[in-house]
Amino acid sequence: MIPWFAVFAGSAAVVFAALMITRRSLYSAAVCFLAVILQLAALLYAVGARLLAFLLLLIYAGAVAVLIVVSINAAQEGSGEKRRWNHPALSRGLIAAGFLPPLLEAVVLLVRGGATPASAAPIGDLALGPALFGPYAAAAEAVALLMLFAALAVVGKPEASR
Amino acid sequence: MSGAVWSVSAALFLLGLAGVALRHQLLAMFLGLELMVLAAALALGCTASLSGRGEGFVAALLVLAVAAAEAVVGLVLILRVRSSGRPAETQSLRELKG
Repeated sequence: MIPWFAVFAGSAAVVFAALMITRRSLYSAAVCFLAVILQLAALLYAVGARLLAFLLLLIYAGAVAVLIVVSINAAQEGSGEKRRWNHPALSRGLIAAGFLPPLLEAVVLLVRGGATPASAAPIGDLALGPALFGPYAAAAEAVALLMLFAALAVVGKPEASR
Repeated sequence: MSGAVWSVSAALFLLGLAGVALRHQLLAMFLGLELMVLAAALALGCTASLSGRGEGFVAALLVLAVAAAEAVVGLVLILRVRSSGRPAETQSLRELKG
């Protein structure tokens, strides 16, 4: 593991989180949130939790962040409060600052050949599947049912109200 | 290293809490909420990796899945508030039945 790498990623995550809650523009807050996700994925990768880092990128940067941006767009559509809400006055500096640290970290990982797991007896990512469908099968099924019910509630509510 | 990870998690959780408590826009509050969930998942995942125990990985994975479902429901609720003609801010949601 590279300790300074994890410290850098954690510090950058905290800085962007502070920026996220202080920016008035929701677009800027969404960009800062995306930067926080990238830094947390780098931090998880640095401590050896590679599968979690990958899933964090898939779920949050790939799905939730897109949903947030679409919701910001949809929420301001047709409203007269566009200027007060979130005019897309995103500074290019903020975007560059958000994506420069992950770029640097990727270059460092490529040059150094990746981070080694932190623990002496690392948990293999392959052990996660048997654990999910072994002793934690009930919890995994409950979460899957929860996601199904959430999807049904989202899709079914407008139909029921007609 | 474990202390640094816990410090980052605590800082992120407190910043998310501040975002929920201080902002009035529902989407900004939602971002703060997601930050708190991410801080919890980070603490679980990093602690599991540093201690060599697999239960934390499972818990972090389940937290991420629940957070994704919660994000979908939360964003749809915010959009429904907005489509009902009210601004998506806390001032417009003072009553349970408006």
